[in-house]
Amino acid sequence: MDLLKQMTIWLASGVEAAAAVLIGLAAIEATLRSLLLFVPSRDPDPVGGHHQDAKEEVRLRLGRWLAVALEFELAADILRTAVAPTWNEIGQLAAIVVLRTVLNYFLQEEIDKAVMRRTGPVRGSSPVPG
Amino acid sequence: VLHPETWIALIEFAGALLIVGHCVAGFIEMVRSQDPAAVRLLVIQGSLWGLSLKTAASLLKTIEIQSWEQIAAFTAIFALRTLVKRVMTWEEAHLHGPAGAR
Repeated sequence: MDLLKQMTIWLASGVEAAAAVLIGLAAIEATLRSLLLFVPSRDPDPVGGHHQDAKEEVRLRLGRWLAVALEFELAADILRTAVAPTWNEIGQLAAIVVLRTVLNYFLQEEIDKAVMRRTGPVRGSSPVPG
Repeated sequence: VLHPETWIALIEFAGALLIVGHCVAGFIEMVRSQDPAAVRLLVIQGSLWGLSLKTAASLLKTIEIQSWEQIAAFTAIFALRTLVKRVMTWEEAHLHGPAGAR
């Protein structure tokens, strides 16, 4: 039975490593996309609205991938709940789980608000399409 | 073989494998479609499934529990899992809903 517990710890570490890879890749992608924003576009927009949208898109995409990584980390936390013998470890686990859950909630709220800001007026207020 | 401890460990491990399996599927989905909402749904579904199995194992554990110390530890872990399960169910409904994260 100790072997199964040990394997669960390895699996949890593997899932956490996957989350770390995900965060790394998302950060690299966001950096590259941000750098591309500095490249002058062929279709210049005098108002700058398109540029603002592009910036927000980069931020939102990073936010979405971070939410995915948090989901992986929560999965690893769930695995660890099978192996938490001391009160100290249970307390630390509880704190991390609550922290990640709260983080995920606010991240999701931020994503939703940004999406609503973009799509809300089109969906809700305009009675005539087009 | 019929000892509750064996069953608890096996059920817990099956839950762990389910969670990890869905995480692997999520990683493959990430490479394939690059759709964060689809990956999140996969991981959430796996975690919910795994949590259900772990709850079953927890119920079996109540047979084994003897001291107050064990009861308190069991209650803490059980409350933690229930909280995570609630939040994940909410997230899953949210991702399926009209304001999905796509």
